[in-house]
Amino acid sequence: MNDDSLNRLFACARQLPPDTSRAEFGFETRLLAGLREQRRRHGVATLVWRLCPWFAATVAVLGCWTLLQPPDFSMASTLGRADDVLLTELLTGTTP
Amino acid sequence: MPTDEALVASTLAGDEAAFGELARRHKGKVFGMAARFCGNSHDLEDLAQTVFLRVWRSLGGFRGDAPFEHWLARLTIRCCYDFLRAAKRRPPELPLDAADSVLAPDDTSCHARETIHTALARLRPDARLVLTLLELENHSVRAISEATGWSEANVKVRAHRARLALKQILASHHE
Repeated sequence: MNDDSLNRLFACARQLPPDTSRAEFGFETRLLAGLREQRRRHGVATLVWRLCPWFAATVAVLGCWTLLQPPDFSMASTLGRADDVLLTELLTGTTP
Repeated sequence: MPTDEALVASTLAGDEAAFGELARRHKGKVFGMAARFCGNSHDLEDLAQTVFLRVWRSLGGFRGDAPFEHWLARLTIRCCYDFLRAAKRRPPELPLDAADSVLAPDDTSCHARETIHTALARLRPDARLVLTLLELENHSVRAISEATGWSEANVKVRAHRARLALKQILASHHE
């Protein structure tokens, strides 16, 4: 194929621009709906991101509080630990 | 009737309807250019949405020293180039028969468009972009240079190589 043929091919193609009327129909409505959805999602993500330090602080405080708690000798916690000696002592009142 | 610049200002002030009006005014040109690079209406819709969403995000950077239309055209070209680079799809396996018959007097522009579209789809993204903008969209070398960030000499070299590649594609089919 030579330059002339290619130029004529381009000229023919230029004469008939693509018909996009069907795709364009109602485009603004879909665009604005997509935009609103994106902003809503962005809003939720921003809120979660802003709350992250508070979540982290809460976890840290709870962790510290748990560590600083005095040992618990109640029956429930003893059963949980499955400590035989302590359990016997708790049930009988005597040291084995 | 508000100007484009007034609509941009209203959009930046939070008026969503102003942005809708901007989209309504300019969607024809965006769709027209995007359609040169898309094989189906689904991709076309996606690409047009991408362009306008990028416009929405970048409106703050519109300084108004050039018409909004030019700014939008540059942004559209960049989006189209990104689309071409991201598309890992194989080029459509459509027949190139129209390449032989396009020179016949009874041939139609529709055939020529299909032929060119199919042949262009086999080029590298940069080659396809340059040839489409130069030959089908009638952009100047300077405008392409501004939109892509390539130097004018670079655009000319790319266009020359793209033409050679396109001729080879059409000729190889002819044989």
